[in-house]
Amino acid sequence: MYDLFFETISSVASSLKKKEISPVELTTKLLERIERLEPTLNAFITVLSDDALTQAKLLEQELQQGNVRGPLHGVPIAIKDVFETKDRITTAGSKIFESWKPDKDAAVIQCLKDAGAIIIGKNNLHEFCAGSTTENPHYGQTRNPWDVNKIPGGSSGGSAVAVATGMCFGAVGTDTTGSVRLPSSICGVVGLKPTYEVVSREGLVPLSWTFDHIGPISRTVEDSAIMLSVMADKDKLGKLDLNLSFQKDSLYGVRIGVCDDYFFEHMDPEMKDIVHTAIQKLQDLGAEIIEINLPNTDQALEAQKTIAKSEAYSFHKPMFDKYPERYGKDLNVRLNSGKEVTASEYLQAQRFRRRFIDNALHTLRQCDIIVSPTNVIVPYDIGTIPPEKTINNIFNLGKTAIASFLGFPAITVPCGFTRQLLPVGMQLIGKPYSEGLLLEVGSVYEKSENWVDYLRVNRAYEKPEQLKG
Amino acid sequence: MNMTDYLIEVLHIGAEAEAVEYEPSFTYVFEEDKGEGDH
Repeated sequence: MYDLFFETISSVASSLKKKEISPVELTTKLLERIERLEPTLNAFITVLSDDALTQAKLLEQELQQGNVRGPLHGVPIAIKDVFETKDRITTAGSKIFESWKPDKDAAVIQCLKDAGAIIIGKNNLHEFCAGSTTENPHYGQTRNPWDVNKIPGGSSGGSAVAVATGMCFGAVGTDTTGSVRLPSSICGVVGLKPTYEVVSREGLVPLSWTFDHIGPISRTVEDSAIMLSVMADKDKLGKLDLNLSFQKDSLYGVRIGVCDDYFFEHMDPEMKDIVHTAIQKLQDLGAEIIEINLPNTDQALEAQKTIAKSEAYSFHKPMFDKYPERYGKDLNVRLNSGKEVTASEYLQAQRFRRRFIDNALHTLRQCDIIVSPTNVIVPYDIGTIPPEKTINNIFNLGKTAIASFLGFPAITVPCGFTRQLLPVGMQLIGKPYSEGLLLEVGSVYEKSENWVDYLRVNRAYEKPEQLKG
Repeated sequence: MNMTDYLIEVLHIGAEAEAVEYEPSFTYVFEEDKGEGDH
């Protein structure tokens, strides 16, 4: 079933090159769609209509002259509003930066533009990326496109919603504890957190800089590969083995580890069955499934919380100490907790992290990839989580934190739906710089199931009368 | 404007603003993939 808004990046880029559709025409259609859906979904803080159309006209002229900048030439892409954009407001989802216009683009945004992307808008997010519900006290709640009374996950909630509802062809998010992968899985799309520092953080408002990653959100695995090839630091690109054909249809020779102890505990039984069915599918496709053990995950999560809250407070200290009232309630809880971490506690947490990484690398000698669920419980209803629980939300909603703690690459791909038609994601975690393998395995699985087709037929967000409150 | 100037001019956060741009020198980097035999 053809639907322009749900075409892949590669197919729409091909249509643009063949002049079957022009960048201006495409951008105009997406802006109209955004205007229609935004009152319900609130996925954007700023829609860059004028900039997008100006850029589309320029790119259209270049196409007519036979110039193609790169694989995103003329393709509208959305970005989380935490990346600096030259002369355009960059709020980071905060009141503090409500009027800040940076004097340059973030490095990753420049990479997108160099490859021909049209930046169509800046997505809503959890304030300063510090939470997983995208209940933003300053810019409003972003809503889950599968049930508009539920959270979409976060912190890159607006980005995942925009991709899932055909308001852009891909988006760029950030992932500190799971903020690309968790909303992607909850919204039924693909989210990739590359290896630490594969994508430059220059021009990113930080949350916790030893965990902050930048990654693509897309509807297909191949689209994530295309976006990563554009976003990655040029000196890291060669390590990633992204020259993928996406023609493979089996997983023979791939060893996939399953760690039941941590990744499947405290999980909704229906969602657990869905992920186990997906793992069986990986085996049916030829993969060897191996039981593995990843010890000390509880300590790892505690160390992660210690590091993350300490780093967040150290960045915000000058602003937070002077203007705590300009921060939301949950940010107040989180940043105040960061004041209490001592230097020795922080350093011990980083020392533990080093040992945990070494152990994980040792474990990954037994297998090529670890498979797990991404989201593990049904997303919360909007407005039901008190501020003091904000730090633990992401740990309860999903199993994304360990890959951030490790700095290893991880991707989530849709693997089914609950009876209430809420998406479930399967996470693949690999060794450093094994993005190519993760993408290849994710793609083989994706093609075997076609969960992506559900995005085209989802109409839950087309019924605003269902909104409560 | 850059972030520090914004904080100084708009939020009137003075000398402390320098700390906002600070990034520690020990930032954990995955420059070396500790591969096989390196454990």
